[in-house]
Amino acid sequence: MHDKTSPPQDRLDRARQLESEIARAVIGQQQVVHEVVLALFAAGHVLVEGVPGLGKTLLVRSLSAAIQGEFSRIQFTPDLMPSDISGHIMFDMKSENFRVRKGPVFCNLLLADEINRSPAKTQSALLEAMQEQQVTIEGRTFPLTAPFLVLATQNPIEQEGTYPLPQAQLDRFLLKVFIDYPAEDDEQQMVKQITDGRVGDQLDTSTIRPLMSAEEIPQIQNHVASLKVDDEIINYAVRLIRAARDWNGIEAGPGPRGTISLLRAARAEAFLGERDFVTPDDIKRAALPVLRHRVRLTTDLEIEGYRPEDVLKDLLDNLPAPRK
Amino acid sequence: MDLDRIAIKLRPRESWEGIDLGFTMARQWFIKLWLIWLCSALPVMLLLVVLPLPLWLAGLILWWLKPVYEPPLLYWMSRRVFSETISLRGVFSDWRRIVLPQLIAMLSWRRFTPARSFFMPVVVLEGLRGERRKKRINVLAKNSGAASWLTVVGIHFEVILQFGLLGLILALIPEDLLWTDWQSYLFDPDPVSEWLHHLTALAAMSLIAPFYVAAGFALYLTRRSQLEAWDLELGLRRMAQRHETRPVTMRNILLACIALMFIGVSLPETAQAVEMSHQEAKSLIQEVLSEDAFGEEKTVSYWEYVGEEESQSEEPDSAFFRWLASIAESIAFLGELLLWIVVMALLFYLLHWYFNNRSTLGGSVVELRDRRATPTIVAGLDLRPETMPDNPSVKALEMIDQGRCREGVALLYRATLSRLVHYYALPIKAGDTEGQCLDRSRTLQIPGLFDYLSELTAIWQKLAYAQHQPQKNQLVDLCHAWIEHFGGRDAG
Repeated sequence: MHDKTSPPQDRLDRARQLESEIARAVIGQQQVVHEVVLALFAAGHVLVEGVPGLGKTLLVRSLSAAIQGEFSRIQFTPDLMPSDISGHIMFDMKSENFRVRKGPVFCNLLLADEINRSPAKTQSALLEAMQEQQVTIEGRTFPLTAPFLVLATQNPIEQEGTYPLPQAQLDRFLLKVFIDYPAEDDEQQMVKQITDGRVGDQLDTSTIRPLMSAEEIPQIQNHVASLKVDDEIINYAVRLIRAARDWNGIEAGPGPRGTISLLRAARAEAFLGERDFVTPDDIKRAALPVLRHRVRLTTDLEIEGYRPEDVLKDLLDNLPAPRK
Repeated sequence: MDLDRIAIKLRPRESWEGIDLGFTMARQWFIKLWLIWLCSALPVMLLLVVLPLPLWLAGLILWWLKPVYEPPLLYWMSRRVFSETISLRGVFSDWRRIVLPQLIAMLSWRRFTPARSFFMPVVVLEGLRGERRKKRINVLAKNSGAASWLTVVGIHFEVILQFGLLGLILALIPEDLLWTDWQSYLFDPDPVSEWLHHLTALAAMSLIAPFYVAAGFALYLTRRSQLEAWDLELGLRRMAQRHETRPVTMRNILLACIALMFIGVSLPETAQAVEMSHQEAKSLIQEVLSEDAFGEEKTVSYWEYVGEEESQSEEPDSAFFRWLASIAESIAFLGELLLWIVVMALLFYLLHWYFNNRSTLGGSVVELRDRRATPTIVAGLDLRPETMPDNPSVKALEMIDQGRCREGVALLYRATLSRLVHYYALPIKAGDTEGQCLDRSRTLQIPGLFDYLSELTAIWQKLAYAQHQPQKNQLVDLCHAWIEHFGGRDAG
């Protein structure tokens, strides 16, 4: 590839196969699978919005199986404590010593189910771990093992008694992904595949081949981060974000972290597109999942039922793309 | 029909008062009427549930069969008005006799008669058909306007009631259990919504039907009472009953006879029994007619112009009026001119819009290819044909030979976009990336073009965004292939 420190080609090829491998178990959610793999290679976290029962746990389990990573799941509830996530120190009667009991956050892939069910204090414990890649328990700091990807979910229907994530915390997620009902054919195939010869409703990831080890992922992430980005592309990303701040219908636009995230996601897009350089197409493809949770629409547009995607699509259509 | 037993107060009424009377009757006997209607309609509804019909058709049939459910109500009311109580069983034992005659007519060409409720007694109670029915309706027709309005208002109330019931049901269902919303309900209903629609329609129809039938029947009674002076007949009968116990004077009897002559009804039995000579009767009639009640004279005065008619041709005499008229004419002329200008401008705008949007309106690609489009700047790049060299591929080849590969490919790519926009009328937006332009070109379906554009775009992207220098022979091939695809035309 483009420098001597790049991982071997076969490793890159295996990384690119992740998407199709996971899609074998998670049927009919190609876009979601693509975006989650994108976030993994861009070393970001994903906020998933969708009703329950669409295969979010299966998705993370499948990804975990494909990269042989450690998987944890936390169901966020109103009484969940920060220590339930990060862990705590307990007194071991046998050894008469304090022992650290690490929480579920110590893993490679964490599914934070219904993150908006817990109060801000608990949410921030996880969000801090996401940002810092480390956890502090009773004054001692423990680094998290790379790769560390959090897939937090929100249920768009049941909003009673929830604690919506503030804008500053939403900004920590690289992508916001919508998971929708699969198409009829996909659903039929999925039901057939899952129910044939299965007892109970345990998720089956046995069809997933382990393509690589979790330790290889940071190398891929480093490779992705070093992909070439032309100044024109950076200029396009900056123009896009700046235009979003002043665009008609957007009350609060994305900050500089949005631009950084956009370029990270665009690099991962270029990697999955088997290129070693970023094109304006990568920026455009990454723009919606990167920006949709970073903009807030004006009240009148919200009342009229517009979604951030509608306004962002309008922006992307009208902002001149770079042509040298 | 025994008028002595009539349960309503007979008096001359306007049509609207007649409808009021009907509503009073419906309120009075609502439960009975409602049950009779349901007994007719529910079996139909259940049958429709069982039959494998599309839901919309089931709803339509339920509505169409309204003339089947209504006659039993009318039959029951016609008995009840004359103080005869009839049970539900009694009504339905006569069902065939009440409903079946003229059912086909009522369900076909008479289904949309607006005064259906008013004319129904003619068919159901009088049993008239054909020419006799027609004549009878012509005689009764005075109240048909009110009856038509009754139908119009009834339809509106039925719809309001139905949607009110629906709204109530949907409002009472907890949000989590709510499977639909108004938009889906109206434009894309699921089977549950459709059945709910039919059930609420049935409920609304059942609530409105007693009022509708009773009001139509009351209009019919009002009209017949007017025509046949039922109120007078009834009054005279009561007078006769009162005088049965008193000595009857000849004068009173004669008065009654004369009154009946005027109203054209049969004489009461007591009056028919009186015998009198022709001469005596004549003198008595003269005597009665000479009384104030018959011989009153009135003098009415009014003004009427009896002078000569003035000439109609009135020209404005004064110069002022002539000036005013000329101003008005000028304004009218200017207005007309302005209107024509607006019409022409609109026409021009429409033609202009049509020619600019022919590709999206299904215009032929071949025609568009030959058309010279207005020079435009597209997507921030100057793609005007006149800004291109005479032969872009030759010029690009020269640049490549001189080692200016990047400039050469840039020119080739720009010229390609220009051709796509101006000769193939490809709609490229300002925000389109190279990949999107490529995707759009797929719609042109010109053999080999998409493959060529894919190769050119890939080389251009590598050169522009990754500074990857392509091999020279690859670029030369691209330039030659460009001539094959676009070369037969002038650039400018």
